[in-house]
Amino acid sequence: MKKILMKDAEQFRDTVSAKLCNCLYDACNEVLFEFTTPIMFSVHMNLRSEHDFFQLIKFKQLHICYMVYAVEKLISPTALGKEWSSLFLKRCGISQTYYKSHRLDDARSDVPANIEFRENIDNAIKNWEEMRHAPR
Amino acid sequence: MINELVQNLNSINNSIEGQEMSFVNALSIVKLYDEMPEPNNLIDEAEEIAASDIDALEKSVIKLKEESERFLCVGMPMLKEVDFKAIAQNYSRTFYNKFHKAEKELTAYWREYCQFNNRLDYLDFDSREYIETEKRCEKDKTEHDERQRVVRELYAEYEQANKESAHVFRFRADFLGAVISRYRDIATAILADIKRIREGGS
Repeated sequence: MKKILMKDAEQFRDTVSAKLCNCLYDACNEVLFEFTTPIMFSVHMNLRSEHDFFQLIKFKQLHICYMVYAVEKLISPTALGKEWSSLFLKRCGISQTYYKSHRLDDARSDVPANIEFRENIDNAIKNWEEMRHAPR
Repeated sequence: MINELVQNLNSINNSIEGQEMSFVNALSIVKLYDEMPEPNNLIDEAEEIAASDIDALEKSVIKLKEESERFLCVGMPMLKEVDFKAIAQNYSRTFYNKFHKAEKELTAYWREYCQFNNRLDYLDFDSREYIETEKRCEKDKTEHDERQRVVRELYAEYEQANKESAHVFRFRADFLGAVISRYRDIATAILADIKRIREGGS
């Protein structure tokens, strides 16, 4: 196994990358969670604070599930994505059973509010992917 | 990547500290932000360079830390005052106004052309008045077509300006702050790692 030299720096590795968090910020801030800053949004998305977390807005479980599902798919390796989604949902008070049966509800919904949220999340991810592939 | 990032941070800092924020300035900051690497990528690159040239790594990371701190202390408070949405809207509005003015003027030419064209229907085909009106009609049509071409060009310019300004409209100083504070934290940690490696720690 390769020896890790940057041990301190490794502690700062994000599970959900900082720029992805920024892209998702507008779609989630004051929609899923009460107002938070982009820095704190990134802190909470990465579950960096033990004691502090998003203040959830009521009745947004379906949206949270869709967002978590969309983000989980972007995390590599897959096992890390699953671990992240499981911990994140736990913090949100959403069970795995609920998540598994409802994570695609927004994707299939034809309710305008659900379509809008789904499109906002999908566009945020599209913007992030375009940024990643932008010519350097 | 780290050296390139240091240069980009330097450009951002200079452009914030140097002058009032114009649209071109704001757009260049947004483009630099888009090109910035994910903070995670810095850790990967540091790991690679540490194994081959730890001195070069240290030099680059010190500069990265300096430029990040410069941004967070000086640039960020200045950038927070900037209304990116207003800058974007003003920029695209200038193009819209040009297009709108030209389009309004075009309508007058079209009306005049229609007026003369309708008159032709009531004139004797061989009359002198018919020939003169027809000439006037053609002249107005040519003028209208030329202006219509210009209006289309102005609309295309407006659409392009809208596309460019959308990037600035969506941008927030906080986004840059969130990423750069991550760079600073990682740079500090890499320097601690370098120190530990030099001291023979594992």
